[in-house]
Amino acid sequence: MGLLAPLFLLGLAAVAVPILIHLRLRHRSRVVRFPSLMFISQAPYRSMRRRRLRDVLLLLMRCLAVALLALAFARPLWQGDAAAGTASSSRLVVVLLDNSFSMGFGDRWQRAAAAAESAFGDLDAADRGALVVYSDEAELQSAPTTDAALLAAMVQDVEVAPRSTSLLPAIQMARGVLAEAGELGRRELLIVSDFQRSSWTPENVAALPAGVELRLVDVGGEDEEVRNAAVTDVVFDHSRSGDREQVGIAARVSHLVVREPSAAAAGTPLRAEVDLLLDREVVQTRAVELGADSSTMVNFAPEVLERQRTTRGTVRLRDDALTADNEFRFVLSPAHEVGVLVIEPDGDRRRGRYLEEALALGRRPFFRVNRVQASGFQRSMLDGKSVVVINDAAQQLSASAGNAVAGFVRNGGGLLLSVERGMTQATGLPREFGVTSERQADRLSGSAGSLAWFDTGHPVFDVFAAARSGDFSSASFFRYHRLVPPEGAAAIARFDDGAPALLDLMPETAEDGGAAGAASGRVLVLPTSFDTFWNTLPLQAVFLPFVHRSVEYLAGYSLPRSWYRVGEVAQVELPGGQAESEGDGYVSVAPSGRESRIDADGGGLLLDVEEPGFYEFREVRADVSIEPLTLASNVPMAESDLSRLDPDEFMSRIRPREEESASATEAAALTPEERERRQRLWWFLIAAAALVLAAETLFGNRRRAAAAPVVTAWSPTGEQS
Amino acid sequence: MSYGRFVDTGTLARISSLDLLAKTVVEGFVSGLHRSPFLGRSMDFAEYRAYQPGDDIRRVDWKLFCRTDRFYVKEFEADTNTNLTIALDVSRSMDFGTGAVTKFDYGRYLAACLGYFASKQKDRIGLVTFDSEIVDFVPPAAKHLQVVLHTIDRIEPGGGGSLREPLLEVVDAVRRRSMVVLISDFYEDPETVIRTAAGFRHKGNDVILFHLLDPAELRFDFDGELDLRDLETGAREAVMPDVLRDQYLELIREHTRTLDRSLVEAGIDYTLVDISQPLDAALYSYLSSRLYAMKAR
Repeated sequence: MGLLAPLFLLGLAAVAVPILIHLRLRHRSRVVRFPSLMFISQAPYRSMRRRRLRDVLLLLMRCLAVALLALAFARPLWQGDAAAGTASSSRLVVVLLDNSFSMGFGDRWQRAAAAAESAFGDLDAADRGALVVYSDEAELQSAPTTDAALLAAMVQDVEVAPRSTSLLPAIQMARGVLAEAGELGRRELLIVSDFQRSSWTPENVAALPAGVELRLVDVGGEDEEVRNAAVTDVVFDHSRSGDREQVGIAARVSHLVVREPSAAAAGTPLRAEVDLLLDREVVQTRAVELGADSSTMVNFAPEVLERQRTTRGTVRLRDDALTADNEFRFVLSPAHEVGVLVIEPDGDRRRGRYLEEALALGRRPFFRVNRVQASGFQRSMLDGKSVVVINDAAQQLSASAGNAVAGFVRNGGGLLLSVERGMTQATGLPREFGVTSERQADRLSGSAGSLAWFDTGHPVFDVFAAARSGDFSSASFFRYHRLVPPEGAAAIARFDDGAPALLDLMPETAEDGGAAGAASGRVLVLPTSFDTFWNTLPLQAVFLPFVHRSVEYLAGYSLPRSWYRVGEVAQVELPGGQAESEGDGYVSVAPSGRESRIDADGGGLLLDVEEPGFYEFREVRADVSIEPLTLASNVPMAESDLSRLDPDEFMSRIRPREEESASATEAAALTPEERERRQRLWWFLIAAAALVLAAETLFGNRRRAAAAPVVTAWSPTGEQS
Repeated sequence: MSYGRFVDTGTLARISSLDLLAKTVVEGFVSGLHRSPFLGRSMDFAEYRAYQPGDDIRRVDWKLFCRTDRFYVKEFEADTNTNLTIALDVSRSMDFGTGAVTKFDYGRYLAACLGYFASKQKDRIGLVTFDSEIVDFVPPAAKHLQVVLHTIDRIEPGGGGSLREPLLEVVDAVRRRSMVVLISDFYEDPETVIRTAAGFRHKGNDVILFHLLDPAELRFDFDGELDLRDLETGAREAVMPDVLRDQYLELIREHTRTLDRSLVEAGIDYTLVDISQPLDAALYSYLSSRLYAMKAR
């Protein structure tokens, strides 16, 4: 306890004022000799004593009011945590209750709920409690309240959620609750969790307000060995045989064993059966045997996909303690087909061979390739095509053909323009799109050119963003044009001499995510050819994904996701490529049956995935016979790993470390003026003084009313008046 | 008959001689009566009575002594020379008065007047003063008026305590059938007072109780905050008279009512005397009882 203006304590001397007034004005009793107190002592009412007691109480109240005012003007403040801790016996207990789905393992949730209820049950009448339920996000269920029964009821209403765990947002929310409560009284933070390792990354650092007592209830600490098997991933292999499309399904099954260091190594492998369900029917079953901390791919025989229909699939693992991650759901739909027209120079059909072979290997999507020589091009060939590849044939295209291709692009088509020999004339389509060549780079002598840089943020190259995922440096470029990009174009790859290796003439279309693709197509310009005449790129391993990604980009194709994870935001494309929902919008039906209206924006339907299972989307007024859009969702994979976080390690990171100590010290080192301004104890003292004065007024008035004289005369004959 | 013309207590207080005071009061009182029905005497023999110390030896029947060798005194029927024993409370509680005189003085005046009056009647007058014990005892005798008046004159307020013990001693002291006048403020349990007075009565005495109270005791008309100090015990009590008055008046009224009712039932005269009032009311009460006693014989 400190005082900002201790000189005002001199005002305590004013306490003497009411005392002096009291002494001066008090009624002095007259001493009267009386024959006998026989009847006085029999009277039950000692008026004088009570009155004197009232006088003393009034005096005390007046003195107290003066003292409170003097203390308020002295601007008191609490200093130090110890003082704050002992100043008030009331507590504030904030309980962080983990309801991620790993809490559904065994009886963890029951123990956790019991611990939370017990914490609230231990609250005294003056204590307050607050409940924060958290998984990957935290929600304050109840602000600090003294109603322990309400808090216990809230705990009973909480259920395990199919979400992952993250302690950091929960602690930050608790920190806010504790900070808002001020520094008076004891403050406790109780974390009830199984303390999964995934809930706390080594980078996480959190600080609590100074003086907060942290307690942990580890409901996962009693298990010596925890085994959990989960289906963590599913991959598909589409193939075509004629018009029939098949898909091979492989599921990754993991068996994770968490042991206490003192426990013996687990020797029992996992033996389980894995079912594949398509449209709720078990179509295949595989037995799997897995050792501890291992995973395997379970391959199912290819299944034939029905055309024009979405199939719901589930890979289900039987017999496991944590059931939430035993099912993996997905949707299967026939692979998309992208029509590609390859225009080649007249008389040389070999030049398009690499390109054709590469596109023929496309699985998802399939590429339907048509090759035509420049002189044989007809406008009708563009029908049903998404992308046109002009492989060094631009100079041979007629003006009408060029206009047709340009119109195709303006209507949203994609164009991959490979320029080589004809580029020097700067005529035809390159000129149409404003692309000119500064000169032709000849790297035949000396070192050949190489691709020195590419934009991994661009959709064409994003698959090569990871380390060792694509080696373009092995490709040699002997000749190429040093293109001058037109205004607005972007060089998304460059040679080692700085010349553009790939131009995206309409990058804003890519940035719009295809939204504007319907109005304006995309154009990529390669300053060399798709054959081995000027470079060795077709001979490199990166050629295949490079071509696929380029064509997919130009076609505006994005691989539809077969599943989402809970917590993600799903984007569902509307049928027929609608960008906006028409009519009255859509209704989404969650796996639990909960329906909600949803409106599409530019990218389709956006949905917060909150439950594992299958979501359905229907137009509000659509015929019920129309197959709904379907979305599959699964629980977060990280939650299946029940590896535990060392509580001591966690405590070391929660406890204020050097820098947090510094911040705590900084908080403690707030100037007294700031602390006093935050605490505002003077306000409470003024209010208390006002209350005391009001009580004194009320008490004093009642005393005077009670002391009004009543004279009774009684004559010897017994008459009273 | 109007008693207003009699001298008030304030005037009496200025008369230093108790003899003169008694004479003034009684003569004034008697002259106001047209004809006294209480004067006259009879010589009819009634009985012999064993001699007691204090009896006039001239009344000893010597003939009977010769025959029996014992002393007997002759008693006559309707003997106007009846005994009057005045028992006067001189405890310290009597030394209280808010007017011209205290209860003690008033009691002294009343005793003197009664003695003088009885003397005029040729009655034998005796006196017992007591506080917690008997202080003075003057046996009843026809010529003891001056002794009685002298005793009354020199008495001072004494101690205090229960009335029970001294009154029982007075009962024992009054051996002849007498008219006993008990003057006190009776700060005692009514049961004790009644039982003691009944003791007198059972011995064939006529008993008159004069209950002297000051107006302040009757009305409790104090104001302000008081520290009441008990005159006898010295105990103190802080009171608010405004608040306490009703309760006090109820208690003392119940006290006097109980005394009045119970004493009357026991055939004992009880007179509550406001000491601010003249003495004649008390004297009249005495005369009424005297008449009753004569008729009874």
